[in-house]
Amino acid sequence: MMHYLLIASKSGNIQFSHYFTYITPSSRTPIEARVITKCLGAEKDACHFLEDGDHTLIFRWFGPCLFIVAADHTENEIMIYEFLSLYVGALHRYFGKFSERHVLLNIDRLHMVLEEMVVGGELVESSIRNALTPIQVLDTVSSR
Amino acid sequence: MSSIKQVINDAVEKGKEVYEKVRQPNPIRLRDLIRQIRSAKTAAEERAVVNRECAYIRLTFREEDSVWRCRNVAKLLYIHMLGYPAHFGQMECLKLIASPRFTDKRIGYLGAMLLLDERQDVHLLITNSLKNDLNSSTQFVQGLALCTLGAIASPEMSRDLAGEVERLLKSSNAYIRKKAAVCALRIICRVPELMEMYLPATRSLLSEKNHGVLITGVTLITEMCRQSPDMLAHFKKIVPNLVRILKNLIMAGYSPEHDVQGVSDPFLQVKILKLLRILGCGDSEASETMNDILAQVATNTESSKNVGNAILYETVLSIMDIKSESGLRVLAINILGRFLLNADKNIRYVALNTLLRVVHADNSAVQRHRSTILECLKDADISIRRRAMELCFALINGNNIRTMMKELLTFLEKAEPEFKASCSSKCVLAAEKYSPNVRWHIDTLLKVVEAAGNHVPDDVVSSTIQLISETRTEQAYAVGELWRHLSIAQMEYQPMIQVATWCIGEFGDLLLSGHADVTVVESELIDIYQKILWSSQCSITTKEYALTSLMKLSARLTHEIGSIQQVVSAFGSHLNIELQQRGIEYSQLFTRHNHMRGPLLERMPPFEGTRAGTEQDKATITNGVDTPLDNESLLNDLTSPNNNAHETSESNALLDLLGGMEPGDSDTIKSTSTSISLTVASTPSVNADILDLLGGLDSGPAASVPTTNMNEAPPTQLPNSSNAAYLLDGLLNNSTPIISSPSSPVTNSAGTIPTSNSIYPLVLQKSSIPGITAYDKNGIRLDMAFELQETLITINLIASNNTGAQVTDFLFQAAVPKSIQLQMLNPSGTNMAPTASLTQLIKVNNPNKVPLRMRIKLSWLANGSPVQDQGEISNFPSALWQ
Repeated sequence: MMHYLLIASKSGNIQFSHYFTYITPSSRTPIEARVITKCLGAEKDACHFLEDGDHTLIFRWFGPCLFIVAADHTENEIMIYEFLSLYVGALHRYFGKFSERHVLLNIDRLHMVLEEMVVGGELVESSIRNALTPIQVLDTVSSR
Repeated sequence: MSSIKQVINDAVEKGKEVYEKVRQPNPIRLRDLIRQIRSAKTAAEERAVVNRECAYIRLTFREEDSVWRCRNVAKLLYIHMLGYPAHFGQMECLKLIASPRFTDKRIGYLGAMLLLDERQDVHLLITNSLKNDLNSSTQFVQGLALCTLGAIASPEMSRDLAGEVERLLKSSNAYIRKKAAVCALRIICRVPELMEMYLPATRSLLSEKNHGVLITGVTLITEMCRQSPDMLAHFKKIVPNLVRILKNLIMAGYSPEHDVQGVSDPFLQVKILKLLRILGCGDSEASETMNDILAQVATNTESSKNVGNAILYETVLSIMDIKSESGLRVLAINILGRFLLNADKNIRYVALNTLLRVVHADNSAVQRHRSTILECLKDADISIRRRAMELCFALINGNNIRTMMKELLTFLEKAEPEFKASCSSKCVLAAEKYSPNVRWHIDTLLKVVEAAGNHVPDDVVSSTIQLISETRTEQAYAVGELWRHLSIAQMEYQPMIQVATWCIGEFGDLLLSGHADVTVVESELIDIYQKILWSSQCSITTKEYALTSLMKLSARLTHEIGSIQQVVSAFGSHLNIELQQRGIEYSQLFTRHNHMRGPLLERMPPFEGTRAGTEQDKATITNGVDTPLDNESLLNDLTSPNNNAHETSESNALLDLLGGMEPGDSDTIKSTSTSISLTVASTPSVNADILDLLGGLDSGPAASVPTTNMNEAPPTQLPNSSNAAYLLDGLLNNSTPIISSPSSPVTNSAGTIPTSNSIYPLVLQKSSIPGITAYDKNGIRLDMAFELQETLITINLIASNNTGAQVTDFLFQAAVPKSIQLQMLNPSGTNMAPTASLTQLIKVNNPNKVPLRMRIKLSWLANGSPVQDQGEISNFPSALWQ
């Protein structure tokens, strides 16, 4: 299962974090700092899977945003790597266009889209359309 | 009067101003807050913005402002993400959840998911809201509630809401079913007893068309099978269903909804393959059913795309785990072979990882890719190199050891420091296991020591020394090789110098007599030793090796003994206490006891017992000194180190023994007695002589104690070696005065031995970690000295009685945090006369390296009246866990 998903900027600032398993708030900041530095330190064409204690870190760049997932060692790394692109694809479809600005300003939406796709660290929906439908319905209901 | 009024008015105005500043008419929007925070230039500025906003949010919360609650909670979530405390928003989330508006509920549940944790009391409150919403008539409200439950369910919540989830699992709505399935997953992880309840509903999930439900259903079944063997047996019958679903996925044409890079729902395929692996493991019937489909997936999946490789990866793992046909296994390993050649580093990494997982199942198949794997050792990527190294060691066998070791040594030479220690240890293990001959074995170990530089772990040094000491036939060769290394050695690499000096000290005569292939002049030898001993780059440990080795050489050389004596006596004033003591003791051997020097410095008996990686070796060498090695191996034969209570009496017994002997008695006795007391050397024959000697002294007061242990004590008892070292120091201190009596210059110049009773100061000095006084009250003082071996801390506790009264029934009890293991050995006694002391060894294993604390309880009878005290020790030196 996945344990957390982070999005960081090129400069290493945390832009988004979602924890699927509980980690005390006080230990989150140091974990984030360590994990982000580790992934940023990887060379350009290096392997995107890194060992990090009990977890495997899977990271992927989308434009200026660094997406990182920490998963169990038993998880299929390539699948999670692909999941990240599925998630970004969903965000792209949801916002119409996806850029760093969207990450910065729509953190609540990022959480909502993620929750439709992953609950408790397990994938629930692999179809972008199915994942977005409930969010879009709720959006129209709320804006009324 | 008016001025006071003025002042008050001013203050009120100011307060209002501040209030107005804080209390804006409308709260700023989330994105405005984000902009403000992002534009902060310093951390302090950011903190100021956040604090101002938090103060404002708290204020609106207090005012029960329901209009902006939603917006404020959203901002709080952002602030929480940045790492600021936001727990005060928890109650507001609950209020939002209870609100009838969708917008509020959404943010409320999001907040609950992010802000709450299982230990909060608010969980009780949220359970009710969840129950209401799970029974709502709107699917999206149900969906939100399920989502939240799936993310934060605690055991209590799981029990309370299990029924609702079970009902929703049978809902007619696929959206609800998939979320209910993932909730059920969380619930059975929390409360496994509830598994039975979901069994009927779970089975029917597989007859589903909706992929979301299938994915969550398969995940749920996987977890059930993982947790319970009964479930595993039960679900064996769904294998055909799974095979059918998988087949449909492969055969199905293009479906835009689930297509990823031309592959139909790879996520679901991977989940099914994983479940098949669990169901088919060790079950030939189930494996038979899935053989075909696995072959189909393996051959039909597009390997040019990443997702295709993800599926192939999972398929290979499944094929190797179940009882599959041999042809299929070959196919699987070949897929991995292709992966190894892939340009994508991710794929190469996965290939190595998978090979590592399957190498035990099918070693010979993996062997075929050996050359490719060896290539990966040279990869630029560190993750790949690490995996390749591990895999190489798994592949080594008797046939390929020569080529593999050659590659690994090249790797070791260039490897990052983080690899060197583990790689060199593994090289030693592999060489130990598969070396074709002794000459090769010695060569390899020397190369390992050379290639790993200062990163050689201590056990490798000791293994090498032990190997050379054991193999009589190759000693001349080894010492020649070592001389070659030493004569060109850079002083910065300690392990090689340590091995070389040890061996040259022992077998220097072979070197000089020309048995080795090199010709060495004595003065060259002395020059090198001078260089080592006076080099600032060499560690104290290395110098200890060198000094003892040089001393040994004094019995092997013929011409240069004078210069050896000069060097040795110069160490009598060395700043390091250990070296100083050696210097002084060894100089005595040149003067007063010159006649003993020869027999004393004879060759060590070959080490016994297994070499590589044994606890014993580690324990011996991590003491970091050479003499303890000699001593301890000697002590190994002499004593069972376990029996703490006997220590003093034992050393006294030896003392008596030694004291009772005149140097002139007979040759054997002379050499044995001194070899015990100075513990420099003994030959096998001498060893046997000790036996005889002690056996003969049976009638003596306490001499039987060591005798009984002499033969039986197996080398494996040395995990207690700190104990042995301890005893050894007792021996050293107690016996030195006898040798040097009547004037006993040694005791005076050593100066560190306050009383002849105290046998601990040397232990204190030896460890680099400073000791502490743990307790000093009521006339009882507890001193602790530490020795650290990785995570194992050995504490030498010394309790001294300054009460002026007779202390009896002294009892020391201790407790440590849960993650630490504590073992207390028997104390040396329970009674203390005034000013006397007792000792106790405490072993503490701290695998997680948490700060060490200790709660202690003391009780004793002072002149018959009971005294009790307790306290906590928190001033342990942090070096113990860092």
